[in-house]
Amino acid sequence: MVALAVAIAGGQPRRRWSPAALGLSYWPGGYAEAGRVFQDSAGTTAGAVGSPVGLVLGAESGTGLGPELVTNGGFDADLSGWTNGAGATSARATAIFPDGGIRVTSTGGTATHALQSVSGLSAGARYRLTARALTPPENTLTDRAVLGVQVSAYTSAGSVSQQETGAVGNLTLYPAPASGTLGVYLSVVRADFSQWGAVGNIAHFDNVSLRRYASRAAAQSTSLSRPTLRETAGGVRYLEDDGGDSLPVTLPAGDYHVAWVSEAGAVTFEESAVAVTTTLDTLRGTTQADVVVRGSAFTADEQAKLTAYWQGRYA
Amino acid sequence: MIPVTLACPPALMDDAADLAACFGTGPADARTFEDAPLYPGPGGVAYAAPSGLVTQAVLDRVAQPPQRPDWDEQPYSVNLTGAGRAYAALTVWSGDGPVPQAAPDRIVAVVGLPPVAALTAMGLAR
Repeated sequence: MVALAVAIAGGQPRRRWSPAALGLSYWPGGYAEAGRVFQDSAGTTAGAVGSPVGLVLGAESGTGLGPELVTNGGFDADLSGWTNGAGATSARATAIFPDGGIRVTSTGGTATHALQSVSGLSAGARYRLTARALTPPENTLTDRAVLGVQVSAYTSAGSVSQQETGAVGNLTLYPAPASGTLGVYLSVVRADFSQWGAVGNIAHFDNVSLRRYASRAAAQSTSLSRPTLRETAGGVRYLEDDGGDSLPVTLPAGDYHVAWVSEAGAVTFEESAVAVTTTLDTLRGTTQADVVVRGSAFTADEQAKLTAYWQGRYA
Repeated sequence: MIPVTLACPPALMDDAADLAACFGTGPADARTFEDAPLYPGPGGVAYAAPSGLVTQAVLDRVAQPPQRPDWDEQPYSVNLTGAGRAYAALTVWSGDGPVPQAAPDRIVAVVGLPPVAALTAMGLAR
């Protein structure tokens, strides 16, 4: 947890020190937290020891979410806010989601989806997109319910699908829009994302939600430039750079100070500030268990506290 | 996941980018070689040598000639002709016989060895 833990000492509540107190620009809080480490840069596949790491959500400003940005994601009364792609029709339905959901049916051709364009976003910020979805097992050709943000809506890089189990599943991804607008696509497409949905195939969705993630995120979209998640015999999870890997975070231009710790507890405060134009590589060591990035230098007292914090965890 | 290390000479960098885009999972994979570290090697040139973990599905795709990736729509960004040239210059080693040496006219992919061992086996100096 990022929140400061409370310890009881001498009858008085005493807050345990956390790096969050340093006013950081980025801090992953280590790499062990489930739900914050992902194999791909879109955040569709949870991190796993021995697998590449493409996205690490930060914790420097907490792990909360901003207000809801999707209009009528619950389909409580109608489909207002949603439009159909050229190759789909949609209808409000209660058979799968009793309080109302959207049923997207392919009519063939391209753009077999329902769409909502969400504007007013911050380019480079990280958002969490979720939905409940069901793929009817009757669908042919492995066509599935797919939640995505890509214009074409059927690429694996920015989409996640629900398998044909006939059960409702929760779909999640963490897009970072390049502009202030993001398309949310509720699609029926082929399981391997290679084709639009065939005529008559269906996808059900409900509870579509897009909310801004509170902290920054470090991401690597080039597959072979991703570090690997490793774990020590003692259970410490860390990143390993096998050569040429990086995990950049987008920051406002300026000079930043960086400190990091190895999985063995060796702490490094980098002597020189890093001049950032748009991104800073958060992968600083060949093996690294945590890192902090801040727009001002660390005082001696802060260095001592951070060192003690990390050595208490990793040394 | 399976470790893979590649070595690409300067003359094939552009074509290799198109090949990586075809075999990867998204547009960013076109930067696979551009973002990779450089190592001196045979022929007196520096080789771009990316390494990482891939799934068997990726290796299965590599067994077939490159096709235009799903995400590449008109106007196309991937040069399939270039990807084809890179594919023709690709030598994949996965355990049989000696590891091919890096060379100025071919791309070598070493499957299943740790990166340091793969680099050394291909004749690249770290």
